[in-house]
Amino acid sequence: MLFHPMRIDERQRDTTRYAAAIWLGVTQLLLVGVIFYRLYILGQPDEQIRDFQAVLAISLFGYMGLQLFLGGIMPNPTWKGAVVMYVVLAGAITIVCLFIYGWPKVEEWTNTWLPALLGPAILVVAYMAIARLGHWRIERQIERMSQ
Amino acid sequence: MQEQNIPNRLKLARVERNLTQAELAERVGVTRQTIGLIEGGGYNPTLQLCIRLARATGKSLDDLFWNRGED
Repeated sequence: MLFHPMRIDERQRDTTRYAAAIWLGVTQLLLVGVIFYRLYILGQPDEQIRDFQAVLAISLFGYMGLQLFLGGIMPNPTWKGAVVMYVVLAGAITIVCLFIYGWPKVEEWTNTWLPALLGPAILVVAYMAIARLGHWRIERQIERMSQ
Repeated sequence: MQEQNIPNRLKLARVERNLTQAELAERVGVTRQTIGLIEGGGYNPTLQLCIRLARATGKSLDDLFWNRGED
């Protein structure tokens, strides 16, 4: 036998999770770097980095969503709270974009107003759904265990 | 937040039983390195592992992990 058999114990599983979390962060940062490099150093147009942007968005939001869902302790906003969250988010994005790009042309609304107003709505609804599902899952788990 | 490691008397209990780290590790189903780290206060075991360690050393959880000076 060339090697002793490897034993995976709880500490090793902890280490694996820790390493995975750190390396996920590094990978996401590298992806951000690639996007900036292609955009601003190579001067590639937006359309040529859509795949990288999609992978980065799925990775970031998937990770955060899974954490929220599995943790099950995220604050659950009321509908009023959700509306406030949406107004703040959409307002901040709109103001920043207006400062950077100026007032957009009306015919470009699918590329300007739509993502600025629809994006935050999707984020807020997804957050609410995940927070509620997370709470529901944990409560069900506790209920099952106490039976 | 920095995780606080709990001082314990695992090494003492193991030596009393004439067990090596590798033997104790084998009995409780972990690696020798994990036992070494627990003894040195470098790793906080789960409650499940604490119970297995207590059984393997013939001690109670209090004997192994409770610091009576902090009562």
